[in-house]
Amino acid sequence: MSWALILKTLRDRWRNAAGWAGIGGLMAVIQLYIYPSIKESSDAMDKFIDVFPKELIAMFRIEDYTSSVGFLGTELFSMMIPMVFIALGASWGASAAAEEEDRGTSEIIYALPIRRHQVLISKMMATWLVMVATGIFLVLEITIGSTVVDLNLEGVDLIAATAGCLSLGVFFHGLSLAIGSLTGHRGIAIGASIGLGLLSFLIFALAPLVDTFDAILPFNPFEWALGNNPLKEGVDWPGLGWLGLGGLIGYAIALVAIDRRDLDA
Amino acid sequence: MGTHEAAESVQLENLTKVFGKLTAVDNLTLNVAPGEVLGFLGPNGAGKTTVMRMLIGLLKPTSGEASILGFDVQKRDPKMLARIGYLPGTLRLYENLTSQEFLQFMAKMRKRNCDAQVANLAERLQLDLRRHIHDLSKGNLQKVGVIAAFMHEPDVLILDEPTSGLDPLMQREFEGMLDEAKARGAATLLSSHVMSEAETLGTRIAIINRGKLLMLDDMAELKLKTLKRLEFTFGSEVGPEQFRPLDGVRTAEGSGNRLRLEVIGAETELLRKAAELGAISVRSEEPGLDEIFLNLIANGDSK
Repeated sequence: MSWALILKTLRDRWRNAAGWAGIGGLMAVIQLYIYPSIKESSDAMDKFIDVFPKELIAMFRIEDYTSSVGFLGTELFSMMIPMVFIALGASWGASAAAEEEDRGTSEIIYALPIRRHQVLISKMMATWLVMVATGIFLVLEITIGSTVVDLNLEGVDLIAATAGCLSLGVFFHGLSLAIGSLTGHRGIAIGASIGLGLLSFLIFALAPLVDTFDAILPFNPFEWALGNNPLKEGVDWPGLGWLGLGGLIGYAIALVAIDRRDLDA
Repeated sequence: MGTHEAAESVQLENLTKVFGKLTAVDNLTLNVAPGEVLGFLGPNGAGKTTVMRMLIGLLKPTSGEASILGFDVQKRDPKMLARIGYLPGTLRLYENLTSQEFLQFMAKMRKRNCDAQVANLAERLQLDLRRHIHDLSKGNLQKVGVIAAFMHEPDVLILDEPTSGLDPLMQREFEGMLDEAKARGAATLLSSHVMSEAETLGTRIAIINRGKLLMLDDMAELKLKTLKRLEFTFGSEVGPEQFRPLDGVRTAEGSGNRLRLEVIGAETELLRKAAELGAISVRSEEPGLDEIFLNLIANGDSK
């Protein structure tokens, strides 16, 4: 591992990180800002939601919409924040694995006295730092914001839900690194991993409507991260375990592949 | 040093690289000794760059072997890479950095402090290190690449078309740098498709085309083996037939007091004869590598 490379990676890509963390942060602010008006009209809202078909209620995860936990679960932790971490993991993973080949600098970095997998580990380290920093930033922001708007939230549960999203990011980071290291193409790695991320979300969201999805739900990363509603139920250790294992498999494939392949200049 | 050290700094043995149906490098065997500059010549697409990319471990040989300083290049040992200076043929650097930042990053990755060498080389090459890489002209970009290859005083230099984009003054400075590396005992493999450059810089020349070695020779011997043109002016009329029987004379033509000869090898006998016949002046046209090169490639292709 090389600190010089970790710092360079962070410097090269800080705008990307700030962008995604900023989107997550902005969404959190907007949702926290509108929560008081939802809470005020909770009776009317509950009546309104009650007339929805129960499949739709399940799909939009609005069974508990007017409670603080239900509201944040629906508005932030069912799609927005998971997607921020998936985007971070997928884009940083693809860059780590294939950016040198994509921009024609592999003859510079890989001619230096450092093993290829060490280059990758350094860039992976930079990504973990960014994902953890984004997680901490979101937890702090939502904690402060929920105090301001009087939204009763258990700190531990908020951390559990964020950890689920972060682990989802780790899973797709591993996937993207593996695809990037096998192919040497950043576009393929980003496209495939974000595409699979969206597919995973769709299966998770539509499972209440589509019976056939029930069979694959236990193998769905989104289900591992959020299926047990960590914002209400706390940490889902088996879910985090599966995501971590998936990420590790991706990392292992990437580290072996980058050492074996001919690299494009 | 230790057990890894070999007599030759760079050794290639039957090195072959196949991409699909294309054999880019075909059974190449050659070596570069410490203190030697091997000019590696060939037309574009001859396989020079592929050889160099195999040497730094970017590409894996299909068969054959290559070693640098006793290390198998396929293993990409960091200890080996620490002692190589590599300048890629298509130079792309980190555009968001200044030259200074880029070179500092390279030094940090090498775990070396090269500040003094960088400052010295930048001054010699007249490079402003404060400018951003994306603002640099091709020539200035090349200077950054050259500094990155030389700054850690490597034992082996692998330089792919190093002077491309450099103006003549800077080319001369580069020659000086190469001479110093040579004096230090560094082995250099330097590719070019410009003959005159390899002629000036190389102690030996290897010519490849379509991945195959066509010729590997000393500069001095190479010139002896090649056709030279001589034009004599005599005080009186001399017939060309007087020269035709002499060793090494291929053709002799002319009339009056002027004669044009094409000669291979040493010219001692010929010059003595010319002097006997009252030659006033002689003009000699050395064959450039250009000609040798084109002849070799034409012959190679017709086989």
